[in-house]
Amino acid sequence: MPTQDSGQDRIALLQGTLDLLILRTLVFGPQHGQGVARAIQRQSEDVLLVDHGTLYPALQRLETKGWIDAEWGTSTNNRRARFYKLTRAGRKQLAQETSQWRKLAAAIGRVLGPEES
Amino acid sequence: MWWKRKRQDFQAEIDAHLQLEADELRSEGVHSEDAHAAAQRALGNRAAIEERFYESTPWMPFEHALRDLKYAARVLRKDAAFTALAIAVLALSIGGNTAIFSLVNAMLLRPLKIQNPEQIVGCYSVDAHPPGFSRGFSYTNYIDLRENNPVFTSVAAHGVASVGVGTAEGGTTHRVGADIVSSNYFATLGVPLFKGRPFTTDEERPDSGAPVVILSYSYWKKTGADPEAVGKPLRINGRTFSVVGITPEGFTGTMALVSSELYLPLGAYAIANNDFEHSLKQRDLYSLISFGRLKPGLTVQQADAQLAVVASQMAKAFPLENRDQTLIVQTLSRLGVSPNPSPASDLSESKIPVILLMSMAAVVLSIASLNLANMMLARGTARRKEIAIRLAIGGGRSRIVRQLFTEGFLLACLGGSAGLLVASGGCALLIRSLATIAPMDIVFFPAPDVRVLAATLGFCLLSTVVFGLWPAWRLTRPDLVSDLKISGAEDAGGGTRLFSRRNALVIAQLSLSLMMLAAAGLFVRSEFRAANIEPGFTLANEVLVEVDPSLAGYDETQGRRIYSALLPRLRSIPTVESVGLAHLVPFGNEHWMFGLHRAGDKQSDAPAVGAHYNVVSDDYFKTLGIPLLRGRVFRAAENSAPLEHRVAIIDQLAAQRLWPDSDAIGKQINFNSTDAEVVGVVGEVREQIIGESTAQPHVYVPFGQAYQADMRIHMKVTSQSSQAQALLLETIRREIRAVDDRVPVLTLKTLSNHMDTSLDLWLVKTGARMLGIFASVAILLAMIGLYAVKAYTVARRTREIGIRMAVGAGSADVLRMVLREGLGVTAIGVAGGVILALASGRLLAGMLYEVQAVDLTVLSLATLLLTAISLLACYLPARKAAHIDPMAALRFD
Repeated sequence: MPTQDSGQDRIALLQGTLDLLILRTLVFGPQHGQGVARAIQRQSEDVLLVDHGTLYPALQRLETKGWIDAEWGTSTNNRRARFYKLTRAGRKQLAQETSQWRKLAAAIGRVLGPEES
Repeated sequence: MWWKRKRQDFQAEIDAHLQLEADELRSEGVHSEDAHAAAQRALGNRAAIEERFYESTPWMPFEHALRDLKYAARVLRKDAAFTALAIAVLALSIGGNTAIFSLVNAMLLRPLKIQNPEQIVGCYSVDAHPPGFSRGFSYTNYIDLRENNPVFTSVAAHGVASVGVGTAEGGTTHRVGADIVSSNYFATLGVPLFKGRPFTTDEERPDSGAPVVILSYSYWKKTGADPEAVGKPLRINGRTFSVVGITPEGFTGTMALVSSELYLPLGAYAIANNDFEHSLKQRDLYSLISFGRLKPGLTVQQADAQLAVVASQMAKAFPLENRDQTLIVQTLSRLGVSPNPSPASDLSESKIPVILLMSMAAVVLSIASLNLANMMLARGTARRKEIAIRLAIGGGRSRIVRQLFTEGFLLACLGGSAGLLVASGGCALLIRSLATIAPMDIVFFPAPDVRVLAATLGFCLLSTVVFGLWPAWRLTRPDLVSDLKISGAEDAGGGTRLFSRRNALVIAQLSLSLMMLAAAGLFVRSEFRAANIEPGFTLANEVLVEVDPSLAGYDETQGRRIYSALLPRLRSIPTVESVGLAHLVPFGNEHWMFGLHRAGDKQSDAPAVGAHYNVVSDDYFKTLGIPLLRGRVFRAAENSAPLEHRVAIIDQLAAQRLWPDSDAIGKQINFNSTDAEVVGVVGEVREQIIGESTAQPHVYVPFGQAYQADMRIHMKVTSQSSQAQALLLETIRREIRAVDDRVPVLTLKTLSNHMDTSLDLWLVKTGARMLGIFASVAILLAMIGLYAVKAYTVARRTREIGIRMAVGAGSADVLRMVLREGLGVTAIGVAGGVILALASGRLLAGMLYEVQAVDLTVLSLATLLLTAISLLACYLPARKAAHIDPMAALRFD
């Protein structure tokens, strides 16, 4: 059951990575907040935990920066929800942050050395 | 996101999230009720999320500011007495500053109502050998320049005159300022007329006598604003002119604040000046002033170089008149019209009083700010507990500082708005007072312009920073525990130390007040000295009458006849001892200067002696009591008719400078391009007190030699009561009417009366009065500050004083203790003030009349006065302290 209190192998998100993940999730098309959270969890194979409490302020922040746009719409199960979609600036930002993140991850990986088994 | 997302919208989104999450959980097999609970658990603290959303909007700073403003308004309303006092203090100080600045703005800063004023420059004809003096343009030279001019897009010429205006023939006339202008005058300034048309080249033609006139907007308004004014007749100098135009509103020519009321074409030059002997066609009538619009991109240096070429061509063509003259351009003075270029820096004498008043007003503003800082600090200390609580429950220091700052700013804005009212009232008063002595029409816009508003806002911000920000910063210095613990009535001893914050503020105020008081004292002393001036002529029992036959249209022959008929009649009035004529009167608005040379020296490099020039009659010196030192005064024959043999009288100063080693009598002097024999040497006379620290040389020529229509009649009368004097003035007026009832009597007053209303004395007096007001406000503020601090300290120390009295201190001891502390503060303040006063005295002495930088009388009186008032301010709280009941004090709190 994917609730917060289950699962010991979950990792809380690093500061600043939530924005990147939200942007990435929205590449596949418009999505509402709850859907974004679920998608991140699903795609990380339930490793990454999205705190719902921080998700909405983060969405608000991205919207203020102009990287995503929002519009009320209807969900697949006929509920009204606020759908977010990437803007052009958001796409650019995503590309930039992705390459930065890859560089950072690779660098940290090199520092930590080969995985001990 | 430029719009504001509604809170409800965000709440709806959260609701939607909870439902979606619950739906999903249900689809994964969770029970319906559990699913909702789980979704809410996963979300966490909903209120905190909404709070974070709210804080994240870009509107937050405005929200905070608005909330601070509302809170500040509430706080200020609650403490109405404090608020009213603070606003009054601010209104006075900001109002004073704004009033002075409005005048400075009108005089020096506000752009003139002409097109691109920065392109307009004066063109001057100056002596090339020896340098130093300049002359006006002759019309012919002006035309030569206009037609062969490499530097100006347009160049105009004009001359000022006083003309008599009446409505009908034979009716009364009054005198107004007129500008006699070339046909391209308005075009050069780039000013389209409000109504009608500018002058034509035909009307400019010398001696054409074109009877056309353009009215100034202000004159048109003053005379009834007749919408059909254009085409109507107007009597000028006894002739009928026709109005052809009206200048636009606010147009003041090349001067600021003052303006001519009529504009006449150069063709009417002779009529305007009632001078039919000379003609503008003459190459040696240097009566015009020239200015032009520089071609774009041309610098003053380039223009000077090109004009030098023009000048040398002129000198070749007409060597007699134009030899040794060159042409230069220079920025026009906004403060007057003159054929002499204004000093390069243009930081002329007339600006010094303005700068002085500005700085004094600034001192008042800083005293007011210090005072308010003190009040805020005292009030803030009372609010210390509130602030400590806010800090303790997590209020950020910057938020609290911002809140206190907002309070200060709100106060400053309220005070500033009240100050604008004070300023407009003060300005109107000043202008009205100035208008009574100004020789010209004053055109002043009372409405504040952007500059004045910006300056007021600046003053507000300045005072806010001092009295709002600083106390706020001090108060929020976190010392939570001790602040939470204090009972609110106890100070941690900060009030008793001599150099505590509050005492330091009071000391600064006292010092500045003493400086202001001393400065005001110097002005008052200067006023007394100036009122008792010994100008070199007698003031007592002198009557001054100014008449001008030319204003009734009389030419020289008729004018001379009127004067020679008038003088014997006036002499025959029983109480009149002697009667003299003079064209110019000392301490008048007009001065006429010439460079004097020893004859034959003109070509050498000997510097000219600058001298005041006057046209006088034979009895002038006797009437005014100016002593004849050597030689003779003018003869009666030299009074009435032009003479072949030119004579002049110079004063002692001119004689010493021209002939330091020999007697001047019988020598030839040269001025205004003519030679004259010196027949007498007379005593020195002062012409003005501001701008001339000592008497200046003089040269006098007889009335017969140089006719002036506009003459002042001086009369020495026997000493008599003021009632008899008023009667005498009536008799004089009747006698003038008997000779010719059309001759306007322009001035009729005693000479001391004339002195009292001269610009120089006005400046000294107004300066003294304004500084007096400033100093009183400053002292009042400082005393309020001192009293507040003492009263506050006593209130804080009630328990301590109670203990002292309980263990045996008498009420006299307590009184002494509080007074001693007050005296300590005062002594330090006075010591600082004396230093400031000495420094400012040094600056003031240069512009004041016969005042020393270190005036011990003024300084000691000011110190004494300040100390006495300080003691009074301390005495009231001290007496209260002395009456503290020890029992009540110990139970206090």
